[in-house]
Order: sequence, then C-alpha cells, then structure tokens
Amino acid sequence: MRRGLIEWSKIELPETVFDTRIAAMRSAMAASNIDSLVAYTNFTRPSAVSWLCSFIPYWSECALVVPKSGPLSMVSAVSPRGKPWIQSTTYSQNLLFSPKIAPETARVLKEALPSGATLGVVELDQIPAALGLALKSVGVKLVDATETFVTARAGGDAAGSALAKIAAGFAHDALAAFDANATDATAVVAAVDLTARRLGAEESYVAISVNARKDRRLLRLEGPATLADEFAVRATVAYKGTWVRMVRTVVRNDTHGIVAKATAQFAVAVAELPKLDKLKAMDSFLIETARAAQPLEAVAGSAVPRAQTFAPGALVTVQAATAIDGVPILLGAPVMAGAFLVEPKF
Amino acid sequence: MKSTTLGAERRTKLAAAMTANNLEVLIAYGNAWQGDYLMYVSDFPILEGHGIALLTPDGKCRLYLDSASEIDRATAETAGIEVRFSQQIGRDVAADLKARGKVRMAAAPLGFVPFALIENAPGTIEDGTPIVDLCLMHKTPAEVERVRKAAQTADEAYVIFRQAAQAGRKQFEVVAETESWLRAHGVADNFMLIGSGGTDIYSVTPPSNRKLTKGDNVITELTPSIEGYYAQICRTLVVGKASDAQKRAYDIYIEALEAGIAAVVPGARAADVARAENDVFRKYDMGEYVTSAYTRVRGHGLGLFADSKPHILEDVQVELRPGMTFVVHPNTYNPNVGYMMLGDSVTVTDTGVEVFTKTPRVLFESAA
Repeated sequence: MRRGLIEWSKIELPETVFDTRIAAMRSAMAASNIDSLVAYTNFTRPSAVSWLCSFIPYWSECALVVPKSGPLSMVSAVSPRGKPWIQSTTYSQNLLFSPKIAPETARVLKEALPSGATLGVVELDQIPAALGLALKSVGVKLVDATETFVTARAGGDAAGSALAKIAAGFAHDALAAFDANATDATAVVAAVDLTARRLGAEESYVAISVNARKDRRLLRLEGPATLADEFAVRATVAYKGTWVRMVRTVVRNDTHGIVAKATAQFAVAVAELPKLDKLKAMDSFLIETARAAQPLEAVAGSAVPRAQTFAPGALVTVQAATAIDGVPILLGAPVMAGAFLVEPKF
Repeated sequence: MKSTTLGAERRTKLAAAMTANNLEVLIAYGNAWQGDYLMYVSDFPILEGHGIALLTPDGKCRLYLDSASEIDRATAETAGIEVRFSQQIGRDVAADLKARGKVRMAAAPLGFVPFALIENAPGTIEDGTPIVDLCLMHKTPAEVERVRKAAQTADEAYVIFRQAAQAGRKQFEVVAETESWLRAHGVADNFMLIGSGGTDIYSVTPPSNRKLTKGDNVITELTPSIEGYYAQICRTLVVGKASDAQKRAYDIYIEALEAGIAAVVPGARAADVARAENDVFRKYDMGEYVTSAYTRVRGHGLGLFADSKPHILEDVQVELRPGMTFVVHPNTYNPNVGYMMLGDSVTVTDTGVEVFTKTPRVLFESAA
C-alpha cells in the first residue's frame, strides 16, 4: 500500500533549499525566543522533519534537534546499519542512534542548553508521551513551537512548489491509467497504484467508492468488489515529502457531461480560496494541508469544527462532493493560489 | 471482506483480560507505523494520523481519529464502534476520561500516546501494553487462519517478485509490480523492503533507483496482510547465475532456518529458536555476524503488526505456546557475498510447528 521510492534528489532539492529553510526556521525561533527546537518524525507524521532536512523514516522514529546555530542533530531509532541509507536521503547533520530516542534526545539537549533556555517542540501535544516526558526532564522551559514552525514554512519556496506540481502530475496520471469501463474494482486500484509507483511516488494510497450513488465514502479496498455505473477513486500520492490527493469520478453514459459540469463548479469554488463560500455551498468539502508534521492536516471542511488559517498561496488539497441530476460527483485536487496544479480532467 | 465477528471476539478476549486486571478503561493508541494495539481494540487499520480507542469491560469502544479523511473509512470498516473526529486528540481523549470520573485506566502502548493525553489525563495512566501484548501474541484459531492465508499470499507474491527482478530493472519498479499484483488480488496492505548488490549492502530499505545488475543478491522481505494480519517471507535471489560463493553462503542460511524451525515447540523459549539459528553461524565461524552490529532480530512475531512480539533473540525468554505466529529468519550479512535473507512464517501447534511458507528454501536465480 505504501513505501515507494524514497530518495533525495539534489537537483530537485539542492542543499541551498535546506539552508534557506533552516535559516527561516531559526529566524522564527529567534522571534519566539526559542533557543532550540525539536521536531519528531515517523512515517505517518514526517512533514516537519522532511521540510527541514528531506529525511523520511520508512520505519521507526527520529527526533531532529535544531539549535540556534551549528549543525542539526538527528536521534534515530533506526539501526546504525541504516546510517548509509539515512545519509543518502538526508541533508547533512549529526546522526545519533539509539533504540530509545526519548532519553537520548533529552541527553543531547541537557548537554547543549543552559538552564533558563527555552526549548520549542513542533506539535508538542502530539509527540509520543515518552519523548514529551523526556524533554520535560531536560529542566528548561518547554513550549509548543507549532506556530513558530508554521510561520517559518508559510512563505513556501520554488522547490516545494515544483515538487507539488510533480506529485499532482503523478496523481493525475495514476487516475488516468484505469479503464473507465472496468467492472473489477481491484483492477482499477491496481492500475492506479502501479502507475503512481512506476512514476516514482514515495507513497501511494488508493481509496475507492465502488458505488457512489449508494455510498460516497472513499474506502481502502480489501477483497473483490464490482464497480457500479457511478464510482469514484482517490489517489493519495507523495513525492519527496509533498503529499497530494486527487479524485476522479466515473459516470458511465455521462451523456449530459455532468462530471465536467461538476468539475467546472469545483474550479470556480477553489479559485475563491481562502474564501470558502462556494465550497460551503457544495454537499461537503474538506481542505487539507501540511502545516506541521501531519502531511495532510484538515484545516477546513464541512465536518471540521475548528477551521485553521492557511496562506492564500499555500499548497492545499481540496475535496468536495456534489450531486448533479441526482448523480453524486466526488471531486478532489491539489490547489495552489486558487488554481489547480494539474486539471482534474480525465 | 473483513469479518465483523473477529473484532468482537478480540474485544471479548481483551475485556476479560481487563476484568482480570481490574481495569476500567483501556486506551489503545495507533498510527500507520504501529497500528496493532488500535486494530485489536477497534478493528480499524489506521493509515493517516493518530487513532485512540477507549474500551470498557462491557465491550463498548469509542474511536478518536485526527485525520478527517479517515473518518469515512472508520465508519465503514468498523462495526459497533463510535467514531469521533478530533483536532486535539490528546486533549479530547483526556476530557473524555475526565468525564468518566475516577476510573482505573491503562494505555497501550503507553509511550506512544500523544503527550497531551498524559499531561491532561485525570489521573495516572498505567502501562497496559503487557495486557494487550498477551492477547496479540496468543492468537485464536480464526486469527491464525488469517496469518496462514497471508503467508499463502506472500508465497504467490514472491513469484511475481522473482519475475519482476530482472537485470536492468530499478528496485522501485520491482516493488511497484509486486504491490500492484497484491492490489489486483484485493490485498490492502504489504510491508516490503528490498536491497540489491553485493558486499556493499548491509540491510534492506525502501526501494531506491538502483538498477539490478548481473550477479546482484536481491533480498526482500515481503509482508502482505489479510484482514489486518501479516505474514512474511524472506528470500534472496541472484540476478543471473549464482556463484559458488553465493551458493555456499546460502547453504548456511538454509541450515540455520531449518535449525530455528526445529526449535519451535510448545514450551520452548524465543531464545531457543534464536540460539539454534545462531549456533549454525557460529559453527561456520560466523558468530560475529549474528550480533547486533550486523543483524537486528532472528525473527519476530506476526499478526496485526508486521514486526510484533516476541522478537526472536537469544535474550528473549517468552515461552512459545500454541497459537503464536512468527517468522523465523536468520537474515544477516555475509562478508563474502553481502547481506542474505531467508525466512518462513510459522505457527506453534500443540505438538510442534506448522510452517506456513511453501516457497522452496533455495537461492533463486533470475534472468540476467
């Protein structure tokens, strides 16, 4: 289901990109009076660390320490035998290995930080309890640095935008790869997965509504299923730390072009972002983005009670559902500055 | 399709364990990396974000998720579970616990629950990991059957892998072919790592851009799941004709695997299996290569996680009992030819061992 090609391309992500990002992080830390910052990563919450140094653990967990100056340190629970792999996929830093990252990270910080220092933690609430308790034991002021990280990342950069466009292209091509007349749902899912992975997707996760008229929920397929005349497929694809989703609805015998009509409505709605009025007029919607560690965090939506702000030019993935002539249409695409990165047309 | 009775059976078993331990609430945490505790309690194979399930001894279960996209899937893929979306999952679960008044509670795995839950909980949260671990390790016949089916799928998928692993192909393309075959056969998840090369390869990793070339060892662990239950096959193939050195080296792994499997009997310890495997390497003066410098474990549990307890190591004294399922794999580095892998999925029976994996224990060769 997951874990495709993981590599660090110095062409797409030159070291200067990380130098600039780390400088932005340190600027934001200084503005928040943070002396040192910790970001936690495992492969389900990789976004903060991968933004800072490209690293994505395929297994296990790591904690990245960003001091005010000097090299970054990463404490990894991956076996030391994984060092060459980590070095080949990660922007240079001081690598430390320990099966228990919490006490080792605390040790590193105790040695580095004077009493009275302030330690910021990205998503302090969300990190594993063992790490949180160990950081508490360092004996310095512990603060949540999520918004500090969000501020540092908010401007985006050209390298990130380029990766987003590539990921969007993968998702589009994957969804274009299946036969719209297919009746076997597993064949459709397999075609999407194969295409995304062959293109070089780092993660590929396909969800499907095999009968959109009966049940709009997009589910992971296990076992055989037959496709109805209206079905929808969602590809969630990651490329070098950038995650996007795209949705394709198939309506067989779409003589009135209702999928195209719905897609046009969707385009108008996303063009208004960050205004949500037109999305709110649809049956449901969801906007996700990588604010901190979660690669696709819900920031607004019909089922999201606490909306969060996102920059007008930020990469977001928008999903929506509507119905035309009684036929449900599920829509979804990555969007930047009010425009699709790749048109969700098939 | 996933069985709904299996989940109910799991919760009944766990509820009995909670009652025996005077626990009033069990907090099960999971994410896509370590999802077995959550899956055991809630039936939900989480893919994105955090999940926390609260189980009471009457079998009632409430599932909190912090990924909005997972909510639909959770409502569809679970039965009799209350599903809630939460943007502050640690704090919301802590509030839920507060509302229950003074209760004795435990979390599994305690160290992984979000920090905010520990910080805001209404009292001490005990470590419930050992209680759930026992349930995870000692499987019912229905659970063992899922692992058996997953092992059969692993055998079939390895045939596809062998066909795909040809000279000139890149590692990630080989994995793509294998994963796609699994999707086409309705398999929802697979944990898979790969390595290719010679003495420069010390472990398996996610697939890279590296091309397979003539003479490479191509190593993989392929771990598909059926209804959430994983089984694993580990094998090595050579691109083109295997050299005498590769064949001689692999014979040691075959002997070690056979020795390890022979040690699997009820009442034996995990350590006995590891020792049996390692003694074979020591016999050939390769004792250095069964240390942690070159290898992690000599096998591990299989079930709702691809790398469960017990770990097969010489210092793990877990007793083997009927219904336990694990992979025996004497994988390690060989200084002459590089890292080699060989492993079979097995279960402990009343009288000994049943080997699920049917793929021959040979050093395969693929088209150069």
